[in-house]
Amino acid sequence: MTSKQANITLQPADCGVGASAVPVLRKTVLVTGGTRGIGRAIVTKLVSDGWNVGFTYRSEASVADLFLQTLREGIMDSEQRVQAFAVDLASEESVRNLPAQVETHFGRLDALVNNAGLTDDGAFLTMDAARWQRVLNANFGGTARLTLAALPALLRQPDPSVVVVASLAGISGKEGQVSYATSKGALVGFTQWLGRRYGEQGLRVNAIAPGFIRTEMVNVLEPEMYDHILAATALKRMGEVAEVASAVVFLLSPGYLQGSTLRIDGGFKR
Amino acid sequence: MDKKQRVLIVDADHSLGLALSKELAEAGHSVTTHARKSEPGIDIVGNDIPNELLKWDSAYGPFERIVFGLQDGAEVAETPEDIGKIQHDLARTLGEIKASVQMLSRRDDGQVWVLLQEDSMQYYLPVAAQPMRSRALVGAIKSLAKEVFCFGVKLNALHVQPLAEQLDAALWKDARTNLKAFAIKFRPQKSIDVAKFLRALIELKGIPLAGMVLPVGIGYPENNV
Repeated sequence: MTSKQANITLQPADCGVGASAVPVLRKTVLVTGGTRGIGRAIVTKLVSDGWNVGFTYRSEASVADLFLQTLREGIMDSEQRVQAFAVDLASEESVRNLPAQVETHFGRLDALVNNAGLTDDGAFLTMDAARWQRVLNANFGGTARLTLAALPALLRQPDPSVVVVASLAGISGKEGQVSYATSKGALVGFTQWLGRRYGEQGLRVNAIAPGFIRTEMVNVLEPEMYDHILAATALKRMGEVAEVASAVVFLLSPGYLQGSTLRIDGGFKR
Repeated sequence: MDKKQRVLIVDADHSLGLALSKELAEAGHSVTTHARKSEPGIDIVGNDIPNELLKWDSAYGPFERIVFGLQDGAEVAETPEDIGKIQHDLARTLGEIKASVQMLSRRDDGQVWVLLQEDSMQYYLPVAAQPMRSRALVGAIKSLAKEVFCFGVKLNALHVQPLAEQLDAALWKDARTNLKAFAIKFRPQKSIDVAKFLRALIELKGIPLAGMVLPVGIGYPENNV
């Protein structure tokens, strides 16, 4: 059933709290890597903005369950509004089946936020090939394959959108992160290609490139390890995950942006 | 020119690679050309560059400059298999760049150049290029260059707009016609002109460039992030 067939009001950015005279058919978004850091903030923001949200996690089922419970508190029809899916993006079969699972649960898939990724830092000249290939496979391969698998479902909807979470490393480069930067650069290119390829069919595709964002990983670092980054950032502070989530929500809303990569970096070296 | 350089051109079987080879040879440099499959005028053939490099270096080098040439063939990402190919190509290229940098890091003042295809001209010309490879390698080069600068290796890229020889003259003419008001500004660059530019860079000692991506073209396309 589509919104056109049912003539039902779509409320992608309405919390839908309280009774409505018109049945509400919410837009559905799938967020990969939704239990931690930036992904968790994106999921939280989208649920609060009224989207139906499916999010993926790879292995930490207890963390995902707890997060799911928290999200569902105080939401009407919460099981229909938010769902978690265990998926390893490195597994082609899991990736291929995921969009259908989401459609089965929510009845539709309007948007995809490709957030999941991993890093494996170290000096590239001494790094084993298997390590950088794993990063490429998860970050670029997994993301691109999932996006292709989701396209049929997305293109059935009236205003489909894809947002890719790349990284400033993929644009500006970062020593110690060669494979990560390569994979994120590939995603910037994939965003451009996808936007060009499917733009005429109404698919909007954009990316964000977060800079230095306060996440669990950053919290364990000593300030000496990142002071130089903050010093080269116009805002003189780290970004917050909620600020990244706001940019994702902006890119999901209808507009004229296409194939763009938005830097969320506090003015790093600008 | 400070001295004659020994240059290896990987994937030289492209109009720009061949033009660069000719240009360097005419300027007196020692040039070794490589291709993945046998081609007339190509010196060495092979796919396992990381493992063959030292052997080639012994036979034809020692190289001070390594250039990774443009690669023909469009990337498409229509199927999971396409994604696998792009991923495989990226992993292979990373391994080749790594091996090259490692080899040159034993010498003073090495240069590695990676030639990338600018793709936004696709809106006007059926040029076989997509942004996945080029954008990925921009991220790689900017990162790795920071790591290897201290070893005396300068790793950079040229982001090259389509060359005249890559397409039939009729296609260029159509593009100029279709662009109407811009037609007078719309002239393809020749491979030899880009080759002369790169030769000048290759000849420089202590070049003040590392981790840079130099746009090369007429300025019409705009594929910035």
